[in-house]
Amino acid sequence: MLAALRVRMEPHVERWLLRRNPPAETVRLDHRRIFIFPTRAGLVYLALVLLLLVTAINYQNNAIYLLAFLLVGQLVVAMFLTYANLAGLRLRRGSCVPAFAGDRVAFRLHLQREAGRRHYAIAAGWPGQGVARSSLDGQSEAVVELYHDAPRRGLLRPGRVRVETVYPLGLFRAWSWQDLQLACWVYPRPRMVRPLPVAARALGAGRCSDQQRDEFSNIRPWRPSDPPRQVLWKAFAKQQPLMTMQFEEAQQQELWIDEVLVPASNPEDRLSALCYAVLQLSAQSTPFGLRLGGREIAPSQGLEHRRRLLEQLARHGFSGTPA
Amino acid sequence: MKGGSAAVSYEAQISRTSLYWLLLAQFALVLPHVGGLPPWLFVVCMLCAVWRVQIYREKLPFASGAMRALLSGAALLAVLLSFLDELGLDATVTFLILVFFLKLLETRRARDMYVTLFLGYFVATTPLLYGQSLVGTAYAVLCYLLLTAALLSLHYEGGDGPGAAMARALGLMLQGLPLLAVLFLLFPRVDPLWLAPMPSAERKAGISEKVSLGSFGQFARSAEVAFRVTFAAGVPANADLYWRGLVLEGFDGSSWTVLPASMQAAPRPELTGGGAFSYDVVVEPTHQRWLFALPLAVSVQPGVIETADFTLRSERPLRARFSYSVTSQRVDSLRVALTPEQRRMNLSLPGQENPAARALGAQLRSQFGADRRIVDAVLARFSQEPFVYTLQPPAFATNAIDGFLFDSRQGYCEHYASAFVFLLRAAGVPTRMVGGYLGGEVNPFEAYLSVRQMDAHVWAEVWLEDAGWVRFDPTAQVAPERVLNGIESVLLARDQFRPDGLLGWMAYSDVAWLQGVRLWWDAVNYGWNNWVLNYSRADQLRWLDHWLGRSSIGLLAQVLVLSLVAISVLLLVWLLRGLLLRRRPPASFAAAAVVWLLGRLQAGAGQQAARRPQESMIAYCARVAEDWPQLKGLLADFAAVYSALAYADLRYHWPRRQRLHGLVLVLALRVLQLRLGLVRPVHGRAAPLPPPQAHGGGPAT
Repeated sequence: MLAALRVRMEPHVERWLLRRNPPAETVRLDHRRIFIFPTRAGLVYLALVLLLLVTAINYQNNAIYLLAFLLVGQLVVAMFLTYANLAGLRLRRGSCVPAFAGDRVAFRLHLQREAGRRHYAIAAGWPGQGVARSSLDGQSEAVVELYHDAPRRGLLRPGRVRVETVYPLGLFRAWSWQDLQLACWVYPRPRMVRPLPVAARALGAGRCSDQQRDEFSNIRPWRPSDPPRQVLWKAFAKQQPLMTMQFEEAQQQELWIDEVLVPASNPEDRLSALCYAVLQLSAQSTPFGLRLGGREIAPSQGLEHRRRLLEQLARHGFSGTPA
Repeated sequence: MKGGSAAVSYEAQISRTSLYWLLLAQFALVLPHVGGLPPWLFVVCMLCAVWRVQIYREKLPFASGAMRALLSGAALLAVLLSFLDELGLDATVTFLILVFFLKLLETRRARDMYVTLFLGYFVATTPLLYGQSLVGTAYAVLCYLLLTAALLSLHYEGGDGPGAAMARALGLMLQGLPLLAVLFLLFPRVDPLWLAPMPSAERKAGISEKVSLGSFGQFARSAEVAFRVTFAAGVPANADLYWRGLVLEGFDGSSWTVLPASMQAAPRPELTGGGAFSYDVVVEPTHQRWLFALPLAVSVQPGVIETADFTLRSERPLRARFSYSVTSQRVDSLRVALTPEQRRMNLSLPGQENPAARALGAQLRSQFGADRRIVDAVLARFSQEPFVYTLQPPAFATNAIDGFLFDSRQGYCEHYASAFVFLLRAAGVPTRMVGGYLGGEVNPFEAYLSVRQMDAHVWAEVWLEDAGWVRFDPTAQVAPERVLNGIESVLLARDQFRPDGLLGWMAYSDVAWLQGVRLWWDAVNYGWNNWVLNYSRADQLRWLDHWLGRSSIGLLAQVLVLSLVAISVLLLVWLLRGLLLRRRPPASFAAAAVVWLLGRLQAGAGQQAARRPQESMIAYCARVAEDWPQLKGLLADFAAVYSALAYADLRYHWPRRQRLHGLVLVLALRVLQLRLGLVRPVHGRAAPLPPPQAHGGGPAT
């Protein structure tokens, strides 16, 4: 019944929260944004105080009165400190690390303190997701990575992030729900297909990804996307900078990953297969392009190209841009 | 993965710091119970602690479910067996301590630790049920501090070492002190909600209602305080401080008892004539009903009964410290008539023991006749024959009074009083024994008198036809210094005294500062008893009436709530001071003051040179200095210090702030001088003359 009530109340609560705490990329937590309530331990503590009070009353024991009131004072100070531990904290949206569907997306959250303030044991995250903890003691800014499940391809908006603390005694929990407009693209989940949906538009014919026929052409500085077997490890072992061998394919050709070459009928499956192809080809040094839904992305190479293609796959069928 | 709204999980393993604080707190907690509770308890506690440390070192596993059930069952059984005769408070405390330690074996995560720690707070409080001494309370506070440090270390792992948690716990407690004070003063003291079981260790203390030869010997070694007295006027002489407590009229042949009839409440005759003086007595808990007062005592205190034998009694056994006010009048005798029944009781000598004493009594009667002459004869006998005052008299199994009177002639107050009463009764003079204390020690710090157990004394009262009950102290015949100077003088003179305990040892050391420390400590305890432990609803209402002109429990509650709100708001402001002062840029008051001063200066010279919105303090000061070269150095200094404070986050750099304020002060003086024309301008454009660039609005640089 409580759950039903919760479901019914949720839209109202959402609207109220939206009015009270409108979305923003940077927020400073203040009294309008912070909620505070005793934890379960806090309620047990309260019961303990009551027990001591009853003992003091029944035994007419002023020393126990004194101790019970000591606990009350400690409780109230702890409550204020819990609030103060969150108040004045600034949250800023950071970058995100996209993931494939089924993995977890990492959002970076910047916590900043004001001069002369300290914040301890701040936890941030989403219910049911991972939680990141950090303290702002000496340093003025901390970056925490929050992980969120990404079950589906597309734009992941995890919604309001919860920032909370139970410092100092764990008797009260102060929390805040802030919509920092976090959003991140989720790539399709790669699905292996053979043969790869790749077409070579070349002067010559035939599909070719066979490295053995390539001819050595050049040595250039290492780039992160270079396949390991082309790296000059022997030179690296001699403490020289990382270099990469370049091969020129025997026949000049352009590779195109093409949607129409995927056998699957389900559009998500097709995107998964394309994703697999992108990952496969980007591990090689051949330039490749993508044809998807009437759009073409010109052949190129490198991490940035890979990111563009994957993002194109992620946003296929969605309009709008991520922030 | 757990659902629900709790984003922070307490699944984290307990850190080393937390564990060590917990173990330290537990050790501190059981320490006061050593000696009071069964020894096996402490062995079990030790084993649990060692086990937990081994778990931390990954040498031993956590206790499994079956193991825990087994241990809990065994603990319960052990408690039941140990306290078969009485399942009272001791059993409860033992069980709590056991649970407290067994819980260690399953304290895996932070969440488990809460229960353990909360249990600890309660266990730390239990010793106070047995006694509310200042030391005991301070020790409980220390335990609380350790527990709070353990609680805090669950959430705070400061890089400043394990002491950081303790420092923070201390800060937390200190900041709560104002709330504690308000609550303690104003929280309405209500009557017990139900009758609680008392500690089974309850033992009667002080003089008991039955006195036999040798029963006072135990007190002579005890430096414990029996009660403390504050006199409204001066303290009477030691020889007048006969604190009457019990009147022992019954005699069964060997011991003296209080008769129920004489304990009845009886209206007291009016105190007539002068010589009345009043005082307040705070008596330590004795679990008995005797109250002690100087004759002839009257008390209108609720809860105090005036009895037929002219003593005061409490309505209930004294389970806690009790204070009462008394007015006494110096009287030579208690003038009352003797009923035939009372005469019979005060002459009764049942049994056949002590034939020699009986014979002596009969002989005295026939020899002297009049009651008063018989009394004098008995007293003379004590002073003329070689009687000795000693705390180690030989004991006699039978015919103890004969043995004392005719054989050993050694004894202390009890022997002399017993023999005195016995002889007089044998001679047919109504006589009774009176028990109480004699003397006391004046504390120079607080001007009160403390009466110790070793001041316990018995004497006699004789009923004389023309006077009523007259006090006679046969001990005074043998050891007059006991009466005049107190028990210590006697014992020290005879070098046979060795009181128990540290305080007792200090009491009789020759070192002056040790004496000082002892008396100071006694005064502190007196204050603790008087101001803290005796604080009651009556005091609350009296304060309320004093401040507000009326008083009731309801009003008290209102005042409490209002005070709590006020204190809480102050506390919140204090704790959030960093946040509340945030909006104000650092040193902005100084900046505003200087801008205002310079503005007045410029305006006085007919210039329009207010600080521009985007102008930095350095630029502004430089601009003004062009008009007023005398101020150039001062302004440059000010601008530099201000900028460092305002922009380099040095707002708490105290020396710099002081320097800034000093500069502002000097600047203000200089500006005042310039305005008043006390200092002639050196040169430049600022002068009583209109400046050359009248419309410049600032330097044209």
